[in-house]
Amino acid sequence: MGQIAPGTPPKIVRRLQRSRIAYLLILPAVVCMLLVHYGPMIWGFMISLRDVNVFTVRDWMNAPWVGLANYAEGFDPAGRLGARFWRSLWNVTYFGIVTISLSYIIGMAVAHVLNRPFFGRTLVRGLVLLPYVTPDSVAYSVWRFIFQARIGLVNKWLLALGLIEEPLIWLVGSRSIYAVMTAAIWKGWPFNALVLLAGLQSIPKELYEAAVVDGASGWARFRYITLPSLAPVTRTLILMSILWNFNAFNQFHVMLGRDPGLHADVPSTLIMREAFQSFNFGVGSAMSFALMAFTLVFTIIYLRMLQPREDRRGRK
Amino acid sequence: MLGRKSIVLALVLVLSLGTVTFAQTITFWLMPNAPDAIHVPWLDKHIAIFKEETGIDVKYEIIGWDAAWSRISVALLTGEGVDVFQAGTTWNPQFAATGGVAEIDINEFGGAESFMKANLDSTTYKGKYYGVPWFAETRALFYNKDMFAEAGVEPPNTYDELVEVGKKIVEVFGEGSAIAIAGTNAWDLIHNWAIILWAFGGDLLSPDNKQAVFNEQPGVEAMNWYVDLVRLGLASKASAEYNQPQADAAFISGNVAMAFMGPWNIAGIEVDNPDLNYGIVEPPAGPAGRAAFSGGSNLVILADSPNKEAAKKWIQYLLRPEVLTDYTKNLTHMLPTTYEAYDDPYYNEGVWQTFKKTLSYATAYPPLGVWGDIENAIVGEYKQILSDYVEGKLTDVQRYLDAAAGQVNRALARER
Amino acid sequence: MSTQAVAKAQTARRTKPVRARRIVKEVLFYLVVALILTVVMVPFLWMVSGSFKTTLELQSADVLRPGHEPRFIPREPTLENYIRVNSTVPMLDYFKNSLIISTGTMIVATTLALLAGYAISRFDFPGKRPYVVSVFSTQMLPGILFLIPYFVLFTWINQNFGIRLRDTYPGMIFTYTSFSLPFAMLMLASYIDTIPRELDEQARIDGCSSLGILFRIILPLSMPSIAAVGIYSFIMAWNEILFASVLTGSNTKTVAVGLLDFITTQEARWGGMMAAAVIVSLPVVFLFTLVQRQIIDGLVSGATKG
Repeated sequence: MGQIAPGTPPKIVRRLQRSRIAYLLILPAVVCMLLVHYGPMIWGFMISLRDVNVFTVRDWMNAPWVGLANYAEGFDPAGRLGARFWRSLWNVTYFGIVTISLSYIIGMAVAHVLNRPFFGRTLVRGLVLLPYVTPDSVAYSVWRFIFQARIGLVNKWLLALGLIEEPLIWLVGSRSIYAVMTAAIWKGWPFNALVLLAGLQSIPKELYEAAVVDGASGWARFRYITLPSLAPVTRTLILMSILWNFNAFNQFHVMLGRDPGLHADVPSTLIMREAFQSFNFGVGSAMSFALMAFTLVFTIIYLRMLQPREDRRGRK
Repeated sequence: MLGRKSIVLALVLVLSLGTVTFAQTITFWLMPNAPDAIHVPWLDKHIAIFKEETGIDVKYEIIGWDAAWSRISVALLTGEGVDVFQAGTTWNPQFAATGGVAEIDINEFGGAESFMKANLDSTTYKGKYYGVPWFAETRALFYNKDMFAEAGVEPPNTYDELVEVGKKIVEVFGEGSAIAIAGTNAWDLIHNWAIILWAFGGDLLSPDNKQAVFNEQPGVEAMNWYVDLVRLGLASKASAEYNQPQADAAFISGNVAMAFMGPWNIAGIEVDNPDLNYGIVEPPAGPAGRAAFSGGSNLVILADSPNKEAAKKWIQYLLRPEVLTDYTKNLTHMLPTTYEAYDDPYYNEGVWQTFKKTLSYATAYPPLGVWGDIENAIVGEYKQILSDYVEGKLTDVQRYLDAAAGQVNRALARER
Repeated sequence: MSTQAVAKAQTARRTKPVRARRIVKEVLFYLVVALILTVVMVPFLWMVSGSFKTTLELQSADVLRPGHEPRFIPREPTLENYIRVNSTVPMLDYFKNSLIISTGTMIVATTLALLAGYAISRFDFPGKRPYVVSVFSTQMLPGILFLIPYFVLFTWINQNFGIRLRDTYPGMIFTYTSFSLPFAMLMLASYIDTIPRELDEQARIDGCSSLGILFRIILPLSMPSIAAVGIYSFIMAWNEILFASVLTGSNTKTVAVGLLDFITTQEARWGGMMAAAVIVSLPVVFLFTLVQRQIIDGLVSGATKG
């Protein structure tokens, strides 16, 4: 403070002034999101505190105030809904850990392959996008067909390889979540590859050339150049994957139906049934915000896990 | 009060403007009841005739069933988007309970006596009418005549006979060849079980609709009977993951000897496997006689619609005997909902006679606002039964039915 | 120079084993490429093969019955599904709608995201942290919750400002822009973070304004990420089902929703759906193959090397 020459406005005002351009830059995005995200979020939160059901939903502003009763119902592990909700949180977490990490690893490997010039690269890059550009509704319908017990490819091949004796039922019961995982990874890795490829191309070639001169092995180059350079992109990519994962809906709905069953029910399908099928919007909203809190916790854990590594790098 | 006011308002509008140059337009949503290739020309033609007569233009949109549910729900809750729409019979009471649907004076549409009772019941909520029955459907037992002949069996009359017949078919054609049933992926799983439940003398709810009774003895027997179809090898174990079209396809392709299907499947057979030699009989009888599920669609007017009078006229037009019969007979292969339409000799012949007879004792579900909860609860446990059976973990279906009943009772307590 | 000489000397000494190893490496590399393509293509080929099958063949296949096993080559190939694509469902109209909405979303969302991403990456403005956190938080709620308030909002805008948004292209573009913004802006921000700040400072010394830096320095250097984010926005709009099924109508119905029309609850026209899916997927893949060659290969390598 003492260093500021007399006559200069206070720091905060100066910062605000300097930031005018920044505010102008984010303004269009803020307006867009204000209308589409923040407004509805507030609405949802208000709904979650009231008994909004089939009888009251049209006049929700006058629906009886119930405080946190909707949350209690959604979270009570002894109740039907609560038990299902906890289970669905576990399902979606398990699903997310497997699909996000495998999609990222495969995406990273493929991005390296595609970053190298080779015959037909442009075509391959285009084809690799196929799973990603195929609409969810179609892709998961096809996967549902592939996993069918009697008419599906998976059982056909497993039988041909002699790995199974009789066709397995994939889409019912405890195996169903793995079927959905497979389809989701197939659909998910090309996007990871695309983003990581963009990241790879931003790494100056000189870094690698210097490393080769130093005699660094391929693994060392990956570990000490590629990974750190991709860290900011990876962070956002994984973070968004985590957030989207907890709202996963299409893959479960298309492959397993409106009610995917205990082993593969996820919060979104549960909330969809509760809010939209039965019109219990109050409880549905409460579960949505509970899900949001859960996602938040998970996100914070993820960011904390990254923290030490970044500090280490910062100190170097 | 509000309803009358807006009717007056609409009338004033119509009187002041309608006769001069003002062309009123109503929005009509319907589902893909027939292939677009024939559905669209039919609608265009009749909308032209209707416009000629009344000066009202109808803007229609054909919406798939899944999307239709969400679009109608949103329209009900926000009060705009559509004037008149098609709603599945099981949807109507729940929609009515929101207050987003206009009450109907059934006398303007020919009176309560002119409609088939089960379909009319599906339009009611608390004793008032909130829709007009459009067309009906019910499921009967389709059987493959060639397979039956080869196994030397006759179409079954009772559910016990069905199992006996099925065992003989399995002896000849192998496991899973007797009957095609839908599994966990079927949106209409509950309909498949309900007809068995009724035939076994049970019901979903107590007569006053205050309590679940489907977990009593007949419910357990009906559920065991359904699971036995798989347990005894009459139905393929893979059917646990089927949706309805897949189950239908198994029959239509000629691989399976029996299936519970509806009149719309007749068109499907004509397209996919015209050589299939099949017959249709009424659903078998249980200890309590025969039972059938009455489905179909109703026409419903949005409560906040400013064009209620015009919407009514359009419904009246669609229900004219010649228009309705044409739509059901030649286009959708559904069944009409008015008694008058059955005067057409077409319905006294062949398979249509079977459907007509089945429909005469078909039952609708109780008209409740919390029906969505009830269906979710029953279907949820039903799926768990099938899922646990497949995994070899099914012990006693009673436990599952009790769990479902508990949820249903909690939902019923909220019914107003 | 000296390293090259050393390398040359090494190659001269061990020409044969190196060449052999290089060939093996090359073969392995192409095998990996083939593996990637196989994984990508199997379900897609299954879809293509399905589009040439009759509904009967699709659904009556059986892994246990010899002669009926599901297979890639149709037993009775038919073109029926393709011939009927447009007569069953007006897919070509939907395709046009999807193209307009997705392209519009791509352009608007990428532009807004670049502005916001630049601000987040390069400016330390008061309220930045809460802003970024709030952007993240919007992604934590299931979309289904937004459906009703969103519809109410459209109605409200229509009533108060006379701007019709439901079932119009601008309305859908606005919707999807908002949906893709959070990811797009954060992704771009983290990418811009990797561009050395020295470049900005150099330009500022040369007399560039903040906007000048954005367009002269940041924009060309961010092209790979802009391409990725653009594709993301495009595909998001192309694939979205839930809101499209409620907010679009006869004027704006998109391909993703239109495809579902092939499955009614009463029959499933899988063959028809597969045919439609093939028809709508191929142009998109083709488009991206073209676009990315220009964007990624051309602009970027030019900008970074130049």
